[in-house]
Amino acid sequence: MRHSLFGLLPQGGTLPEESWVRRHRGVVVLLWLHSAVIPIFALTMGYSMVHSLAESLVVPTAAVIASLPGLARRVRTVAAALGLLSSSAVLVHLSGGLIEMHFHFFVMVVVVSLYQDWLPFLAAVGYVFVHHGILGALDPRSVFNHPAAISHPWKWAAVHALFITGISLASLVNWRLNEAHLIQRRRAEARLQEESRIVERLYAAERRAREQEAQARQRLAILAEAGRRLLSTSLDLDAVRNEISELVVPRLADACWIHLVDDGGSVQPGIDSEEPDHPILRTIRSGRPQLLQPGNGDGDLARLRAAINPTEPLANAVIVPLPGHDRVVGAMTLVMQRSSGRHLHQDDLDLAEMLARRVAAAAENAEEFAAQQAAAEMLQHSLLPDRLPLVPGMDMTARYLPGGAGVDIGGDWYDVIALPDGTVGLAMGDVVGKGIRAASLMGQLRNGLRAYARDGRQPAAALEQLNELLTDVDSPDHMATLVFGVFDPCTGELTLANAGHLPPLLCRPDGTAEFLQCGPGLPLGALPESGYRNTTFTIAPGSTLLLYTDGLVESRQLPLDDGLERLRSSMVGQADCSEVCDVVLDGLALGGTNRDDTALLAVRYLALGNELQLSLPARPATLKPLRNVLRRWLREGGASEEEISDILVAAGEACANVVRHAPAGDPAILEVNGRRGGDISITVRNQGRWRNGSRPGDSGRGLAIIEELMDEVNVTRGPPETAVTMRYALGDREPVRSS
Amino acid sequence: MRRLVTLDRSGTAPVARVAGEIDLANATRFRQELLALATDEDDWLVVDLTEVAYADSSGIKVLFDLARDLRRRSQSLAVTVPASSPLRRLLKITNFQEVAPICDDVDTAVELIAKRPVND
Repeated sequence: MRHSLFGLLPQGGTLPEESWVRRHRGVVVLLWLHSAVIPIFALTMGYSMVHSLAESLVVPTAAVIASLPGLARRVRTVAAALGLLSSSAVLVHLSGGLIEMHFHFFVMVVVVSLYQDWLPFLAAVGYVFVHHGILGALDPRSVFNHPAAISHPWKWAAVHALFITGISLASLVNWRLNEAHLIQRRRAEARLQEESRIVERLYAAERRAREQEAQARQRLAILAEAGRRLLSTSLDLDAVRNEISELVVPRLADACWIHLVDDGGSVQPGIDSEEPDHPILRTIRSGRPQLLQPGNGDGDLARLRAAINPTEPLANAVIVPLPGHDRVVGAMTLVMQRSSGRHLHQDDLDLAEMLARRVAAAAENAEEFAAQQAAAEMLQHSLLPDRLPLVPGMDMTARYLPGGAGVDIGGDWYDVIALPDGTVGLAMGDVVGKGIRAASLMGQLRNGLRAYARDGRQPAAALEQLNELLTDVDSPDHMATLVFGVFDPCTGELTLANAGHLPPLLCRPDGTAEFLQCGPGLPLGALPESGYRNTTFTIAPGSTLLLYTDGLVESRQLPLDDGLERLRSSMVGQADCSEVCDVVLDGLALGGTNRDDTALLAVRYLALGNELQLSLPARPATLKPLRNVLRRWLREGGASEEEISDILVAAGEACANVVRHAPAGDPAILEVNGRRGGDISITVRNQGRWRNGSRPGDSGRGLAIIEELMDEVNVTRGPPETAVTMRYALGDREPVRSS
Repeated sequence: MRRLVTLDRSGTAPVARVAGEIDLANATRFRQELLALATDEDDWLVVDLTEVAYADSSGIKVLFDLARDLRRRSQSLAVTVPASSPLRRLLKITNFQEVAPICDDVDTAVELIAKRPVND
């Protein structure tokens, strides 16, 4: 803090630049004015031109110095001050010490004080004192013009000094007040600036905070949308890829790729896993994210571009792993192309990692669901017969429609069993429940039924055994309905037993249809020791039998009785079993997506006419069914049992020959044509190619047997085919000789 | 699969009862089952074809082979077929009686065996 006395004095030198420039300019103009006025005054006072110019020379000199731009401010100020006061001195001298001219001094001092600086001020005041004192003492007439002053110059100099001091003081006060005002203003400005800087900083901070909040909100929005989109992908991997792509591009990146590791360990879509140091593989193997920047990431960016084929070079990329439960299930790659001018930063990598967790979860769920579906389908397929057995003289078609759910296994099943004695077992059942439990029960029932049927048990006995099987198991849910019948194509007899299932439908050749009711019977597993009854029906050739489950006839819209009636009327007049199934399925209301599953088995007992035409695979397993149908045909043709035996042996022998010589692997066909009437004529042909060197009909005993048993035998040997035709006259014969 | 052949040792000679139909499809199995039954100790094996509903040359061939195999072991084969059976005719056509006796029923076969310990 300054001393209080000095505190009263002005500081000086506080003029701001443009203020000083203005004032200085004014002063310099004043100097030039004086430079012009003084010589003119001198001339009017009678001095010579030379004298005038010479005396006034100091003033323009000072003006010039004050105007020189290279000089310092202070120097120019002092030069100007001295110039001004010199003009006062010259004027006083030229006027001969005119007292009124001394007023000019006062004016000049005040003008100098405009500089508000000590140096010019002191220079000015000093000048006055020096001029008045020294010059006044040396040559009073050049300073004063009245006798009193001339005789006592010091006294009068002192008087002038007094007034100069007064004017100086006044100037000083003015100056000081100006300065104080200026300083105050400056301080106020500085404070204002400081405050506005603080406010600026606060605003900037708030803006940043708001930006960050907006960013965070945007991120949350992206993640929420990701969650929403992934929920809607309904467990479909392709949908996952699409949804994420739509979400990310172009908001977060120019392009997005998702690679997944499949069961075999290879990456889809294809990246050669042998390729060394592929950036995506690196992330998958290490489980660590990567932010590829231009510069040290250029090599990786180039490899990335080669692998995923974006159209343009990449600016930078982010690769994040997709974290599954216990392993990395793949990687998500976000790239920015150079042309877009955008870049990915650490923030984007963080967001990508958060997204990746959701994507991985969705991908894992989709994979698991696909696996479950595949397993369920496989299981379902394994529980239903691949193929229906070939029974000559019968036509069979089966259909299965899964229920609406798609993943779960329904409870319907069916089976057709070719039994050793030539009869055919037909089964249709419905297991309570769905899924793996139902599947397991279906398997047990199917296998159990096959075993009991092959063992020769009649249907009712088989059902009783199955009932024991189910009631043994300690589970209340194990229940099933089942209708099982054994059909003898030789006699046309069908023996049925029913455990709570819907009655099979029989459609007769005359077009009438009826449901085959067979005794009440509880579903299997309902009650131990349940009894079942066999009911026998005679089926006429040309009839069609339909076994089905309730999915076919019952739905929310259609009550059971109506459904059964519609089924009955739709059965009439169809050509073959396949058509029957088509018509039946088309014609019935099958509900909506939540319908039950449906199984359908259509069996037609073909009418054999006098012309018999069979075309069968030339395999050993065909021989017995072939004999069965021949037996039936012969019996219907009126042959006696003995005649049938002989003809069967002969025909069987011829067929066995064909089968024996059929080349393995080729679909060789055995053709049997028969005509019956008074005579029985049977021709056995083989189609297909033969191995060189072996011809049918060569086996020694065989031909002899045929010739012995039949009345007439003709063998025509191909190529392309070999045919054995045998004829047998029905009717009176010699009794069979015994040996 | 149901067995084609069941062995009955209740009598003096082992009787192999055959049931079902013999054709190309199961002739090999028929042969294997028969061979498994014939042990070393027995002099005779009786094959009862009463319940055979059908047989053709494949089945007959098995019988021929069986007779030969038994003879190699110094054993003998007898076959029982009812007179009404279609097999009877077949065996006659193929001259089976030249390799083994054909009897009407098991009892007859047993009597025959008792009289003729060894078939010659």
